[in-house]
Amino acid sequence: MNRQIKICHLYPDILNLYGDIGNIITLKKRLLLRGIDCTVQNISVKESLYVEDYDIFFIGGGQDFEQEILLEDLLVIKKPLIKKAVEENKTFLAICGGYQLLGNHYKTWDGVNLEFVGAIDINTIGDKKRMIGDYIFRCEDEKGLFDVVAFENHSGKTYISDNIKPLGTVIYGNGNNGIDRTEGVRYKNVFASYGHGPLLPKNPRLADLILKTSLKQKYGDWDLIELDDSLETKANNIMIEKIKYRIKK
Amino acid sequence: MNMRTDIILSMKLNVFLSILSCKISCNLLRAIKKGGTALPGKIALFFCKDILKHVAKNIKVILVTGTNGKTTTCRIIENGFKQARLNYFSNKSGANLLNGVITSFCLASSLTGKNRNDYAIIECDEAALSQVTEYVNPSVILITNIFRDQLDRYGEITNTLNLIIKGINKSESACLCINADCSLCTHISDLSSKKALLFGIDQKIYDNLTKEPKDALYCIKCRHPYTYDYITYAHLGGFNCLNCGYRRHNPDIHVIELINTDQKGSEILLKIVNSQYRVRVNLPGAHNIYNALAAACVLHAMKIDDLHILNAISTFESGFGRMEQIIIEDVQTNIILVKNPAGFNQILNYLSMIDNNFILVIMLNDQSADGTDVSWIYDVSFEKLLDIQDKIAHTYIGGSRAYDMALRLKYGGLDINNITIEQDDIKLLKKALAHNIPVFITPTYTAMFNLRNMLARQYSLKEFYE
Repeated sequence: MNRQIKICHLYPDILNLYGDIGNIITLKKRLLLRGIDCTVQNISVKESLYVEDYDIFFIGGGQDFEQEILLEDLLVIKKPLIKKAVEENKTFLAICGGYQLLGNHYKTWDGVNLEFVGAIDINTIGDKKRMIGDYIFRCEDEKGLFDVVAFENHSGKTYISDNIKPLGTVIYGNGNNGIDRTEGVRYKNVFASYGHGPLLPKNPRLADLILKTSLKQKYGDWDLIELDDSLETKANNIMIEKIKYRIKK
Repeated sequence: MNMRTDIILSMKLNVFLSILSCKISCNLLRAIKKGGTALPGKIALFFCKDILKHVAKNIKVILVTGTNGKTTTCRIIENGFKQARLNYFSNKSGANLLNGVITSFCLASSLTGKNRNDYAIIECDEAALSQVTEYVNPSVILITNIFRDQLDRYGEITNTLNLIIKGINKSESACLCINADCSLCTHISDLSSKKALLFGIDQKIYDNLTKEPKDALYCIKCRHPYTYDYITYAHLGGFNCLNCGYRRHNPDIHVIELINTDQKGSEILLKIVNSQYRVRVNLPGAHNIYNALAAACVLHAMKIDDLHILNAISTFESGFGRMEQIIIEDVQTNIILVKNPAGFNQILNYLSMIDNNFILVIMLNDQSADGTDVSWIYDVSFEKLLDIQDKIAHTYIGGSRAYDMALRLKYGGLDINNITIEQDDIKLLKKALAHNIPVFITPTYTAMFNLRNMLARQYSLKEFYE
C-alpha cells in the first residue's frame, strides 16, 4: 500500500497572508513526485480538529485584525489539541504569526499581554520597528549544513528559552529578534520560522527535512528519492549571491 | 508697512524659486533622458515647504486613490473632461507620491504660482493621500478599491485603510466617490460625515472565477464572516453581514445588467442616478468595468453631462501598460502591468477568454516600486493556466526574480519544459516575437519601465514621459 502524508492547514482563510499556500503546494508536490500520497485538509474557526488524523500541521501568518478573530477559537477549543499534537511528536510548520501563536505569550509594544498556545517555551515582545527584508539562516540536516534564504517581515521579537534549539543561525538579517542571531525554533518535530510566505519552494532541503521528519514519525523510516532541484537551487543561490553582494557594498 | 512688503516679497520669492527650480530640474532630467518625476518636486520642497498649497490654490482637484485601477480610471476621467471641453492637467507618468504630485502642479503653474487650468486630475498613492490633503482641498476623492498590495511597504490591509481615512479627514469639503462592492471602501465612507456617491455592479461577471484568497472575509465592523449574494471578483460584490447588518449600500451609479463581455470589452446597462443607458466599455475584464464606473462616478460628481460620461467610457483607449496593444515587427503585443494578486488574477481571467494561441511573458522584478517581497506571486492562481495550457504556445519568464516566478509555475503544476527563463530583456522579446503569434507581456512596475525604455531604443517607441 502506498504511503500517505496527511496535511492539516490550520485557519487557512484567516492566516493566509503573503502566499503561505506556497509551502503546502511545495510539500504536496514533493511527496507526489516520489509516489507518496498527500491530502490537505483545511480546518478553521468553529471546525473540529482531530489531531490523530494528521501527520503535518501548517500554521501561517495573518494580520492583527484577523488574528483577533481566531484567538477565541484557538485559546478555548484548539489550544489543548495543538499542545497534545506537539507533545505527541506530530510535525509542524509554523510561520511568522503562526510561529508566535505556538509560544507562551505576546506582549504588544504598548504593553498588552496576549496569552497564546504555550506549546513551546518562547515569548514574543512587540516592537514599533519592523524587521523587513531578505535574510539568510543556516540549518542542518543529516547531510550537513545548508543555507535557507527567505523574506522576513515582523515587528515581534521572539526570545527562545535556553533548552530549546533554534531552527537556524542567522547569517544575514534579523531572525528571531535581531540580537542573538537565532532564527525560528526546532522543538520536538516543530519547525517554526519568520521566513514568511513561500519559505519552502526555493529551500528544498528544508522542505525535505520536514517531510523526512513526518515520514519517520509515521513509518519509522523515510526513503525519499532525489529530485531534480536545479531550478530550486538556482533560485536559492541567486538570492544568496544577491544578498552577499549587498553586504559587500 | 515696509516690513509687510518684505514679507510678501520674500514669500513670493521662495514660491518663485521653488517653481523655477522644479521646472529647470525637470527639463534637465528630460534632456539627459531620465524621465525623473519625483526629484524636481523634492527640489521644489527645499525652497518652499508648503509649495503645494500655493500651486493648488483656486484649482478644483480630483484625487484618485485605492489599490488597483488608479491610472486607467484617471485616463477615463480625462477623456470625459476632453469631451466636456474643460481644461485640466494631470500627473501622467504614475508620479503618484507627494514629490511627483508637487512636480505635476509646479509644471502646470506659472512662475508666480498661477495655474492656467481649472481642474487637476491627480492619481495619489494611498500612503501619500494624507500628505497631499494636508495642502490641497480636493473637490472629489475617489477610492477605487482596497486589496492586499505591497505589504512590505504598507503593512497590513487595515493599515492601508487607516492611511486613507487619515487623508480623507484632513480634506475639508471633498465629495467621496466610493466602490459600493468593496466592504472596506464603504466602511470608510460610513466613518466619514462627508457626502458620498457610490458605484457598483449589481450582478456576477464570470461563470468560472479564478480562485484567490479573499482580503475581506470577515466583517470589518464586527468580525463575523460575510455571506455574499454574488461576487464580481476577489472580495467585491454583494456582501452582507448577518450578525451586525452591515451590507452593500445601494449605489448611485451602477451596472444593472451585464449584456455581454468578451476579450475586447463589455456591453453594459448603466444607470446614472435616475437615467439608464446601454453603453460599451471599451476595455476588457470586470476590473475595467469598475474603472469605467469609478470614472463615471467622479464625472457625475463634477456635474458633467451624462452624454459626455458615456462618450468617455465608450471611446477610451488604454495606454501605458494598462492593456496596451502595440505592433512590434508585425506581431500583436499586449503589455499588461501587474502589481498585486487581485490585479494579476484579473489578467488570468482575461487570458482565459482568449480564443487563439498566444505567447505568455511574465517579468518579475523586486525593486521597491514592485514590492521587494515577491511572496505575493503565490496568491496569484497560476493554476488557472492549466485550463488554457493548450493555448499557451510557450511561456517566457524575465526580470530579476525570474527563478522565483519559474518555481511558482513549476509548483503550480505547469510543464517546465514549456517555460524558458531569459533575463536579458532584448533577447527575451526577440524570442517571444519569433513565434509570430500574439504576445501577452505581464511586467511588474519597474520591469515595465525597463521594457518600455528598451522598446524605445530598439523599436523607436515613444518614451514614457512624453
